[in-house]
Amino acid sequence: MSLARGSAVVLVWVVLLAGCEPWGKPAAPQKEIAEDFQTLFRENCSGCHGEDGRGGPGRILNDGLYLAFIPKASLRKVIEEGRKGTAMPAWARSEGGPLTEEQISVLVDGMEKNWAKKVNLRGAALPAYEAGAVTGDEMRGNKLYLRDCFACHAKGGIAGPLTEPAYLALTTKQNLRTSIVVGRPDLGMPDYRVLNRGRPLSEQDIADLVTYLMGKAASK
Amino acid sequence: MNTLRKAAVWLDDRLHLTALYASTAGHEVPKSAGSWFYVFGSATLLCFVIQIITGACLAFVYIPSTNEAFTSLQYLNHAQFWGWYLRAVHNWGSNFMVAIMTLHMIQVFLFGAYKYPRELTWVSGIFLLVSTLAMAFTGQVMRFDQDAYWGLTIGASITGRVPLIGAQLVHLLLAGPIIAGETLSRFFTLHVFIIPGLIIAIVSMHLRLVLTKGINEYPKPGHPVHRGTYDAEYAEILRKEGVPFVPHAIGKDLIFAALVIVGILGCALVFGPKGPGGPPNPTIVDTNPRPDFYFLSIFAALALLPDWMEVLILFVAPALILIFLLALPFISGTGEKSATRRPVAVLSVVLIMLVIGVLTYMGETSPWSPHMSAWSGNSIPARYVKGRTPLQLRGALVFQNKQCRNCHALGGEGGERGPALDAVATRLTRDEMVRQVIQGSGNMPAYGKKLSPAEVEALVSFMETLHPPGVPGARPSDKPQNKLPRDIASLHHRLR
Repeated sequence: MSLARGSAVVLVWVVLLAGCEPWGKPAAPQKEIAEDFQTLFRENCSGCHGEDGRGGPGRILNDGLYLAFIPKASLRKVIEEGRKGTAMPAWARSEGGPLTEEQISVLVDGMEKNWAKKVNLRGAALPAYEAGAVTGDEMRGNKLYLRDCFACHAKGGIAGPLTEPAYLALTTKQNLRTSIVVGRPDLGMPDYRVLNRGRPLSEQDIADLVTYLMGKAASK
Repeated sequence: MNTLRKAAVWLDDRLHLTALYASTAGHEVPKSAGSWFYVFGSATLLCFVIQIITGACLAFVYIPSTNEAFTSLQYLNHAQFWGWYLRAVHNWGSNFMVAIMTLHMIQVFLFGAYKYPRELTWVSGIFLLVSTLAMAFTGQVMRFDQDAYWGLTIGASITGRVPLIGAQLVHLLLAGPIIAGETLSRFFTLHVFIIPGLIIAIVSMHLRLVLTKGINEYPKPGHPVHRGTYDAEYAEILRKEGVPFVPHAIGKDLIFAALVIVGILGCALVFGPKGPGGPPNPTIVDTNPRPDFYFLSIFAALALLPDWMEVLILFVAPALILIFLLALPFISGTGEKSATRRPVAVLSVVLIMLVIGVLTYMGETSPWSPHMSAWSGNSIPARYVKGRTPLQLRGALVFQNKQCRNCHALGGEGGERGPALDAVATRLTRDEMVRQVIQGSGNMPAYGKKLSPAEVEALVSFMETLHPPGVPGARPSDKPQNKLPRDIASLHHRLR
């Protein structure tokens, strides 16, 4: 190879290399904060609420009825502040959690957008998220429990008892209320629309059941 | 021409340049020392020179203040023209320096070069080893990122356990009881002034010893060193086959030096600088700090050692190792030099390098580190949720919420620090699980104060469901349900 040809080859290499970014050059700092719903949900929520918002030990979130039942503001508040008395921790930075206001907005909006759908209430009125002024009747709740829940929630029943003191110590009135209303379709528990032998439970029924169960917790 | 010559002669007369050359570069070495095995010492020195040059350049930009160290490195990485490359060369220079120094040490050991009369060359080399590792550690602190912060924290915690004067030593190390602005200033001073100064001084002595006591001849099996005769033998070797270091023996050093430079520049170009990774904020627990590769083996040993070994590994072992290394040329200062006649020496090197290698690998993968985001990011496998009672489901929530998952995997996801719990019910009875959760043991912390009785109850009832279908759970050993012993007993009874 002549000197001229050699230098030409070297020159071409230099020009080619000059156009490349060296592999070792550090990439420009990127925004580390995840901002898409899928990533945020997977990293922060799926541990308890399941891969796709269902099938986890925690509340089903990927469910039209649940998202219709809970007002957006309450959903946001639960994420921000957590739920005292349950395993739900606070996620907002203002509460010592890891997520920013924007990230929580992404989560709330993402759940609405991806999972909310029109629910056929079968003529039953959708109960309010929070219990109203209705006073629960413990005795009636006991009867309702035997009538509407016991078939599955008996000791040794397919869903196991609800009356275990340790369970009741780890739940809240609101938690029981939500479970009765929305059920656990992913685990086979029906919702309030059919729990009364195929007919809907009334606002009074739900209040009675919650009062009965929480009374069980208090008495133990 | 004559004037120039006169000037040169005058200069030589005043500066003794010819004599200096003759006694250094021109000094006679055994011809057999011009071997490829003898290139590591000069290559280590070359790395040190590269470190000084790149370090001085970095010092133009680097600001040793807790507020600005991180930012000034970011500036080098992203704003300064090829500033990242400067950092990369300094980083890879240090990696190469530690690696080649290790090779140099192994070669000197295996070639018996530490034996009579070169004991002090070896001893000064040991001090260089310690100083270089000190440079590596203080250099890691310069990045002042999460690795640096936690590396320092571990160093300070170890120092704090020195009996009687622990607190004072921590104060000396950190310039205060905690890592703060003064800590960085202190490590900057150590890294830039004190330790490099020490290294230059010790290297001078090291090189002077190489010149005065000569380079070790290539060892021949069956030629043991005797104190009384070696000096005469070495003089004879030099007389018979001595060659001046320059130009005869330096050729391979130069070629290897070129390879090292290409290696450092190439690695820097391809792999780039290290870090800085994340600001040194102790409130960020979701971090996976690890030291640079030369300390990964120590990191792994510290993580894996059982607690009864702590004092032994933290204090006794380093002291013993150092004492042994310093004493080595006095313990075995004579005898065979050739590695072919020293099986124990060869096996020791192989064993030590294997241990360090395995520990480094463990340190790199660090399976004991908790996965800090497993509790919120790894869902409970559906098969462990289906058909569970409300209490057991609460228990699964406790399992996630109290971050058990960060150390214990389920369905192959989660930490590996503790055992996977997919079949825990086949190993532990209910009571044993309660005890383990409440009291902990070994590396598992006690969760008794962090869990309410109801949470323990829920957690344990969830764990009781964790066994493969068809495999029964563990039973208490004092309540055998196996019919056989009772049958034998009744049979025995009947027979009587």
